[in-house]
Amino acid sequence: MANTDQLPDGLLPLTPAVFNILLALADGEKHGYAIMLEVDQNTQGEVKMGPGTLYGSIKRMLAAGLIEECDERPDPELDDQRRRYYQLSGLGRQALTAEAERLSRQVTAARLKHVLSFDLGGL
Amino acid sequence: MIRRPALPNSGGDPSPVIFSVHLYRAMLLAYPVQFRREYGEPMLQVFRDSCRRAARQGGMNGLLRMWFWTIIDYCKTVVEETILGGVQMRRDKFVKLSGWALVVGAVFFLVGLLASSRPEYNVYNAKSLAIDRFANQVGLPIGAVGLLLISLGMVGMLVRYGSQAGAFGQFCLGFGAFFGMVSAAGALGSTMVESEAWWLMFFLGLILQNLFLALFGLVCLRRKLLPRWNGLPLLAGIGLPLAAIADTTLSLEWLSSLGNLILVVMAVCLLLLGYLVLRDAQPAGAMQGS
Repeated sequence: MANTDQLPDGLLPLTPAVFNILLALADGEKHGYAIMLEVDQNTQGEVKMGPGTLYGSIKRMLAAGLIEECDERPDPELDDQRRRYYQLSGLGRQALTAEAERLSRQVTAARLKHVLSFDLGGL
Repeated sequence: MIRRPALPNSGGDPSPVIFSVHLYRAMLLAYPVQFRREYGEPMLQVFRDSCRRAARQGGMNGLLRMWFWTIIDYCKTVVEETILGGVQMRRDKFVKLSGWALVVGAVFFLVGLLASSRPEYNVYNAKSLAIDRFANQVGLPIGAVGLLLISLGMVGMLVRYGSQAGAFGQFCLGFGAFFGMVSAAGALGSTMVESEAWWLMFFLGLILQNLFLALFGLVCLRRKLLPRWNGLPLLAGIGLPLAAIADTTLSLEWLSSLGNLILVVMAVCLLLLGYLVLRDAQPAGAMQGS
C-alpha cells in the first residue's frame, strides 16, 4: 500500500493525462513523442493526447515535482539531440502507485457488485 | 523578440506533412509567450512525428484524422494555458504583494503603537511635547492601516500556503484576516466617535486576529509550511491573547504589563514573516488543468 501521507494535499485523484504520463514513464525515461505513443498504446487509443495536452501536463508535472527532465541524453547518433527526456521523480512514483491502488480498489468494488461485463481473473 | 520554434528536419517528408508542420508552427503563436518559448520546439517535433506516422499508416485520410484531434487539443490547451498562465501570474504577484503588505503593515502597526503610547498632549503642561499633539491624532489611524495590511498579508498566506495548510490552517488564516479587518474598523471608528463599542471592536478583533495567527503557527510547526523559521507565526500571535487572558482572568499583572514589549515582538515577527512570504511567493507547483 502506497504511503499517501507524504503526497501534497489535492494531488490525488490524478487527471487521466497525468496518470497516463506517469504510467508511461514507470519503466524508464522517455521523450515526448515516446510518451504519446505509449499512452495511445496503453489506452487502446481512448486517451488522445495532442502536443498541447502533453506539454501542458509535462509543464505542470515538472512544477509539482512529479517528473524530472533528464540531464543525460542518449547517444546522439541514436537519437535527435534536441529531444527532451523525462523520468519519474520519487514523488511521481509514489503518486502513481497511490493512484493505481485507488483505481484498483474501485475496480474491485465494481467487480463485487457484478457490474463488469468481463472477468478480471486474479483480481 | 521571441524566437520561433525551429522547423524539425523534414528531409524526405511528403508535402502534406511539410505543409502541416508549417501550419502548426504558425498556430503555436496563439500560446502564451512563456509557454511557447519553453515548449514550442518539442511540441513541433512531436507534431511532426505524429504527422509522419499518420501519413505512413493512413495516408491522406490518416493525416486529416490526426488534424481533427490536433485541432481539438489545440483549442482546449490554448485556452487552458492562456487562462492558467494569467491566473498563475496574478496569483504570484498577489502573494508577493501580500508579503510587502505584511512588512509595511508591521512597520505601520509599530509606528501607530509608538504614537498611541505617547502621553496625551496638554497645552498647559510645560513638559508636554508639541509632537505628542500630532502623535495622539495619527496613532490609531496609522495602526488601523497597519492592521488592514496585516490582514491582506494573511490572505496572501492563505493563497500561498492554503493547499498545504489543510482545512484548519485555512480556517485560521481566513478568520485571522477577517478579525484583523474588524479590529481596523474598530480603530478607525474610535478615532471618529468616542464610544466604548468601537474600542471593544478594536481590542477583541486584535486579540482574535492574533489568536488565529498563533493557531496557524501551530499548523506551521507541525507541517513545516514555511521554508524556515516556522515558529514565527506562533511567536507573532501568541503574546497578545496570553496577555489578555493574564490580565482578565488570571490577574497576572506582570504579564499584562509587558504589553508594549509583546506588541513590538509581534510587529518584528510579522515583518520577518512578510520577508519570508516575499521570498517564497513562487509556489512549489500547481496541478490544475492537466
